Amino acid sequence: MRPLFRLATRRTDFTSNVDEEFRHHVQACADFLEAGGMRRADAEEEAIRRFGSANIYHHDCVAIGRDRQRKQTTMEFLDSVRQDLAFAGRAFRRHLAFATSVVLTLCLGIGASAAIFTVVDATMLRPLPFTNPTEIVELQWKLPNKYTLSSMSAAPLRAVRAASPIPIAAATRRTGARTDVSPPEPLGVAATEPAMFPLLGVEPVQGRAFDSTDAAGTNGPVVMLSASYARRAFPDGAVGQRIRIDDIVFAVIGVARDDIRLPWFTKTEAWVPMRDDGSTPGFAGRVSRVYVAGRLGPLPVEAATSAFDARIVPLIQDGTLRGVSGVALTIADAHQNADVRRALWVLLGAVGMLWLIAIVNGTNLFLVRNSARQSELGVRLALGASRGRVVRQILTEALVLAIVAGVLSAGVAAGGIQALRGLLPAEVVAFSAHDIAVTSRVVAFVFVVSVLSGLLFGVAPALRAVGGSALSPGTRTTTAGRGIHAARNALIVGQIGIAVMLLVGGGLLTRSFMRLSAVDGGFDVSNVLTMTLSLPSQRYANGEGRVALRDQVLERLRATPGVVSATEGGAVPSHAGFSFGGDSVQTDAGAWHVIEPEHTWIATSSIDEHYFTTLRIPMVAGRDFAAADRGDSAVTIIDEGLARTLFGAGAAVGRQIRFDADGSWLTIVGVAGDTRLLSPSGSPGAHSLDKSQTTYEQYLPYPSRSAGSHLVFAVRTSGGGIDGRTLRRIVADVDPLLPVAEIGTLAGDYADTIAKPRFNSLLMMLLAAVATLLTVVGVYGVLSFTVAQRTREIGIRMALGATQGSVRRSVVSHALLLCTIGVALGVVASVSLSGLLRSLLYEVAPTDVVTFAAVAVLMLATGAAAAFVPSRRATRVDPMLALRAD
Amino acid sequence: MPAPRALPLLQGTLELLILEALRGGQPLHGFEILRWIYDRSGSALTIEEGSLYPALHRMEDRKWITAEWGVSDRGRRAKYYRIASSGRRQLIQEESTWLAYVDAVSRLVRAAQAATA
Repeated sequence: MRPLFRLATRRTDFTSNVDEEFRHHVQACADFLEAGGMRRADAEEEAIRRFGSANIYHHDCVAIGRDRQRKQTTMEFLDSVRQDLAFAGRAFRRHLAFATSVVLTLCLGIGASAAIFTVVDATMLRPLPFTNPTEIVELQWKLPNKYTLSSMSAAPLRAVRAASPIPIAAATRRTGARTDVSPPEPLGVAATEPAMFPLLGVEPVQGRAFDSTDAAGTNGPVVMLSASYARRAFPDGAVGQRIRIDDIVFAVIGVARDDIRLPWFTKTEAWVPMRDDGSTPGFAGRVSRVYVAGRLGPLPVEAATSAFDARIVPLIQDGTLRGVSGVALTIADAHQNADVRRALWVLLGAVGMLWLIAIVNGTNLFLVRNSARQSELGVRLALGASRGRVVRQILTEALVLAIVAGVLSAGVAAGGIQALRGLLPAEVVAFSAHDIAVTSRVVAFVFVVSVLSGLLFGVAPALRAVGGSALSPGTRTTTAGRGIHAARNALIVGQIGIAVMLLVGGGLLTRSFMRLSAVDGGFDVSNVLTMTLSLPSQRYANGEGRVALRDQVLERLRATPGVVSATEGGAVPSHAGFSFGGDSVQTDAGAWHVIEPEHTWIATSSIDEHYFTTLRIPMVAGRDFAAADRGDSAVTIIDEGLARTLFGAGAAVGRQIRFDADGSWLTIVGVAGDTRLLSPSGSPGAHSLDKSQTTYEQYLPYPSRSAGSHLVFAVRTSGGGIDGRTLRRIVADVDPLLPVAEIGTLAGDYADTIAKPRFNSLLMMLLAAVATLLTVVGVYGVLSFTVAQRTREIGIRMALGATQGSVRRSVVSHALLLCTIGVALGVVASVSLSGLLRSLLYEVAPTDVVTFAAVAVLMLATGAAAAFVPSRRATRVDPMLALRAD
Repeated sequence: MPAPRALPLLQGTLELLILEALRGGQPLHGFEILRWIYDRSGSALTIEEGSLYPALHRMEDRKWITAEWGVSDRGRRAKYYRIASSGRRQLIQEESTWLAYVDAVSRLVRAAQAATA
């Protein structure tokens, strides 16, 4: 055999090779037969016959060959990928600073986005766990004074249901405590009509939900437990167990989800069935107010509302429905607070900008580094590497960095999420607690964002690398062309602009928050403990019992050393024990004052004679209530604001007012200082920051014979020594079976009312700080590399007589120029966009000059600082070495 | 040449035979391998000749044999096969398996024959 060159087995050759091999066999066989005496023609025929089914064998051989080729191609591809990776690894080791800054940049950018995305996802993007959640509405009642009530009395429920054009179901909150554990454990109880769960489309997690026999109480009191409570209390399974609520035995028939996110169901551990008159088997008494949910079905909300309004007219006329003027149906999903949503979208936008900075940073760094490799890449292209290959090389590097950053940023994200959980306002966390964690969605998000980032900042440099002609004359000197300079400068300017926007946003929110915190509430928050008691309806069924308990607790509190004073009731912050009075007041001068209905409310609360002294609200005129005033329904104290509105500069003490034309007159015995108990901005509910809304306070003395079942105590201490345990002990001394629902501090509760603005501003500042850090890193990185690249040029200048000082100045002034342009652009952009923040700001204009000025100065200083080290490095260039390095 | 007696090949033995043919280390092309098998077996075995090739290609894929294009002594272009080191190992294994198998079956057959004689 004489060997031939091994030829490349390309696909088309392979089939013909098989053909040739078969042909040779047949010929050789024919030769053999011919040698044995056959005629050639016969020999060939016989040879073909002996060969057999040529087609099948051909097919088999070709299939084997194809398989082999496919394996080979795959191997080659994997090999080249491995080459790319090894190359990238070597490159990174050599330029560790570059790799680190890119990874760091991306890490922070992706990590922050992931953390905030998780919060947004858990609180806003997840739909309510109901069937067709956009059809679920809350039924609210419009009052003649334009105020809206979200609850209704239980009495007309049957009539309302008959009149309603859509299916509805009612629910309410009750108080209760588990008495089969020691100490007794307060439970959040939600009582719902059996129709509620089917209306919402919620299935029980275990066991079953309520039906009409449960509501009737035919088989005794039943209860469903929330999933998290059931896990805690009955780790081996809750269904079928029995628990005691306020000494009554309840059978656990099922377990409900934790995330039934309607506002009345926050912090619910137990669910019980409710009848349509508001009563519940196993609980004494009926509730006075219920909340109603409905399902729109095919009706749009406006049509449903007008149909509803029309049908309740007869009910209003015959007195079944009192004091309302119409219904309002609000989609339950939107109720998750318009302000929270706006804040989160703003934050999401900010995070997007942060990511943009990270990408820009990365791209810039890559561009800079690749212009240094231009000659190397040029050589590769000239030697026959395809453009695709080179592009793939660069993209591989970018992706490697991005994926490494992605992995690390998962850690950053996890840390960020933990931190955010602590910072979030309580009600946002309440429903979504278990979703605000590192879930698979988060990991997927991080991964996708990383890959996207890698592709984005690899694309520009990659295209540029193959765009230029391979070995153009300038390549040897590697001083990049003007186009690339402009691109780099543009990127730096862009980065700075975005950072400015974030800083402005953060600055505005922070100033707003500081203003909010500085508002004088009109009372002294220090050293006051608050305690909430929920009196179970079984044992405290009537007013006298409740009054007796309250008085006993207060007596003991006041007798405790270290307690300066104690009170119960009133409008202690976030415990809102008040009701809204009418919107018109008549004075004894005869005039009716209509309190501006849209912006003002009168909050009426019942207080005892220690209220003002405990909270240290000053008495401006007249006297405080005395013990003798208790039960007296003819005296009142009003606050300064109301006094001014009604009587101008004149004295209010001794005058009389009333709210109803046929109501009784109240004599004003004192005027108290204005307070902002409900929220620093003075509006009911801590959501709105609109300062134009005001609340006037009107106080009535404690009724002597009745008290609510929800008692809120405020205890002023002399500081230290008295804490929650003391309070609990006092309560236990009075009634050992009474659970203490909550103990807090007035300062903490008050701070909670501004928790949202605090959260917003903190987060924005955090983002802005990260953005600034990234920008510094980016500018520093780019300037460093630029200086390194322009060594030769700097060397020439120095050899021609430039001083070190002038070299340094030129670097710094270049940086400052870019900074200034960036700041200018950022300011312009901020001015146009800051209007979006308006509803989140308290007493701070979106174009607040102080903030803008501070940000501009900070950014310029940052730019100068980032340029500092590179500028010094520039001065250390040795002209001789630079000139020689060719 | 007389037509070979019809003894169909048992499954899996074709590869053993090919390896045996190449045992000597000489490169052979397909037809030569076939001739070797016929000659050594006293023409007792019959193979549909073309079936050799899928077997050869599979063995080449598994790297038991290596292939090279060359020129035959008649001057035609032909594909030559040579045994590889992994092929040798495979051959030794298959030989011992085959002999043991044959021994066991033969013994059984003879015993059965003797019993029913």
